[in-house]
Amino acid sequence: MISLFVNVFLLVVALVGCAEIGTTPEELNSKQVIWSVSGEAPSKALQKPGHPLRLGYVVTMFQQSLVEVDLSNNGRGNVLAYSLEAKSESDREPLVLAGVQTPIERKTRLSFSLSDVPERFVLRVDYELDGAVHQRSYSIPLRTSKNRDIRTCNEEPCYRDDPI
Amino acid sequence: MERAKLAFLTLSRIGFLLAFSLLLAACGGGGSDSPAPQAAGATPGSSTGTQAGATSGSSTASGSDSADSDETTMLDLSIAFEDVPSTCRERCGLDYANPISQPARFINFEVFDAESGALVELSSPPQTDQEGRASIELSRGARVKVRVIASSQAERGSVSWDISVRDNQGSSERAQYPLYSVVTDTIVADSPSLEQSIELPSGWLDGAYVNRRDAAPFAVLDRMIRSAEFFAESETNLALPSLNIFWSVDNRPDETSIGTSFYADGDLWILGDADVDTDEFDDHVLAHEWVHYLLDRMSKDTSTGGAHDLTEFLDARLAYSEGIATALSCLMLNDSVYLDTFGNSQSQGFGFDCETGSQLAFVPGWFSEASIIQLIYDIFDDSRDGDADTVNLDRIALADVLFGKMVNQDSGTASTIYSFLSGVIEASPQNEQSILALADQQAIAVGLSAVDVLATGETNAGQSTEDGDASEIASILPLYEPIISGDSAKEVCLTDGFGQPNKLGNRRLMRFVIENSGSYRISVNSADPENGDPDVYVYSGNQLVNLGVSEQIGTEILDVELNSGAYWMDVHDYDLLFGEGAGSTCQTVALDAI
Repeated sequence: MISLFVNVFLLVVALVGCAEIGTTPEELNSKQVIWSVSGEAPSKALQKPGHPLRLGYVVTMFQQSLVEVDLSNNGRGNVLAYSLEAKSESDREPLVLAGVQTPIERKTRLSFSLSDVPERFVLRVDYELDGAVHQRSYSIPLRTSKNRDIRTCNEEPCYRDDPI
Repeated sequence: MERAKLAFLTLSRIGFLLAFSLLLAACGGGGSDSPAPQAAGATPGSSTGTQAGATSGSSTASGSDSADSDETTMLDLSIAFEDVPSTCRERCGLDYANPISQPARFINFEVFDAESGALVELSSPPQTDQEGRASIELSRGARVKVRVIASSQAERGSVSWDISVRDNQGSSERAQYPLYSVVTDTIVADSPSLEQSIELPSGWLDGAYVNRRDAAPFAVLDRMIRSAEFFAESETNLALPSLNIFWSVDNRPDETSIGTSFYADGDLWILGDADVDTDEFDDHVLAHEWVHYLLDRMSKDTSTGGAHDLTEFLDARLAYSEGIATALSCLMLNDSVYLDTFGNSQSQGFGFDCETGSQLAFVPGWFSEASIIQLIYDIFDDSRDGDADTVNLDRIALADVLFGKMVNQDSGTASTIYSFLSGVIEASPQNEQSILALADQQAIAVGLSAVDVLATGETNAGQSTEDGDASEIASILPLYEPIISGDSAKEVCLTDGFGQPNKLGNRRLMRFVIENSGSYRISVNSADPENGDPDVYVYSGNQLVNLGVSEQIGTEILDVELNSGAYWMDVHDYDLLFGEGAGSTCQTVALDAI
């Protein structure tokens, strides 16, 4: 009985608290982080020529399937547009999740809902550098195939032997 | 901190060596289901069943003219792969509408009994010729299969190579991965002669990769072979060491995979991520990475590695290494536009004209990758595109510079555009003034009547950049700060004003000569003893002799055994390279016998 009173009291306090800061219980719930990943794109320090952009990203999945992707451009070049696609190995066609058009500040947030988490996002970037417009695509991994078997060899010769 | 340092070192040459050693020790891998090699000369089966034929190849019986015995069958193999050209005609990208069937030249194959798997002994070498063809004599009635392998060991002119393309399945760990190979259906030797045509498709159909990408590893292999052939008539014997290339459809440009196409420790790692970034048909990218392999193994390359852009102010070693790799890719392909395709349907691309610089806004100089691309391209290209471009050195001279002159240079110097120019002028002294005129166009050795490996007399410290200030300029020249054993400590300054960790002013090169072999102490102290983390790397030519990378704040002491000779050092501050907004710092460096 006492615990029931305590729970009711806590619920009332929580509701009053939410009302005071203008947030409903549903909204409060929706901002609870389920998982988050961050990194840089391109990720490898050793690179081919022609990568003036350095993109930092933070992908955060909240309850109720809400996703926020925070992007920051730390390199040369002015980003004109971002387009974010879902990509999994089985996908034939890209699924565009979110996008934003020019002008874009150094830091940008994309928000959208996502019911089925893909293997990764692919970020398409239009940017301007020295008066010319370019495009680049970057891979943002979300789920790694940790259990995937990587075949290595104990002795040579060792062949794939695909049929033709 | 120490662990963090070692992690970074994996991105540098020595780091990769360390990582390679660890990987070698750790690898062992899972099981392999490859057929064990069997003794040649196994007896083929005697079935006379009908020809099964390969699905994507074609096998036909031909007339009996070419067969001189009713006991044998002459099988004429023809192997080709579908090459997808890259183009920037209307827009940059891969041109799937105009694929080209390319012969699979000088590639290895095996013939084995269809039932037992035993290798069939062949009277001719199991390798295609320069037209992708081979003739195989079989016992009449034999039932065999042909395994086409993405590897090549061959010799052409003065160059020999040993190249293999392996399926790393997206992994970035160095391990023993299977070779790409395709196997035909059963071929029945039931007539005096047979023709077997094998076409390896790109896998592209109706606007997407819907089938297995069989052509890709053979396209990569072919580009590597053609790169090696560029030096076949160079008059320099070039026995290229074994090269493994790791390509996979799972090689992605992110941290769960290989990150990008790159060279490290004798291996190439090539992207294959459809609709994001594939490089198997990007000839310039493949040639660029192959040049990194060539320079590392056969010439002199002391690059820091790391991120770089055409318009950045780079460390002299990085600018030279990346610049020459791109310039040679344009020369080897006889195509001045370096092209890298990527994006959805591989329909986007990045292009850079090695001749014109593509009107990129960059500050010219010895620190500029773009300047070095244009300078080296101009020295060796066929066209004379400007008043200063009166030089057209051939690949014989190029080979002499890369594999002779630079290799034999003063061991107290790193690889920079100055070591390259010194080698070029030594190889072709009659063209010295013309070469200096080309260098002048790129704001290198401006006004100098001679150039040496030490960059003596160089005055360009990137002054024309808006970011440059007096303290930064003082952190940049001279390129080599001399130091003498037993003298008082010398002050050098560093800056991150041009970025980090491999940009102009990040690291100072110092040079010294040891008269008497023995033990020496190198002391590096921060001007502010409470801050900074000095580090030092000591080299003799291409070789790292020793390094001091302790975590101690404000000082680094390295005791090292040195033989008589010339050495150079890379002195830097770890916190400046990898910290945030350090700005600039100074250090004192001393060398003493102990």
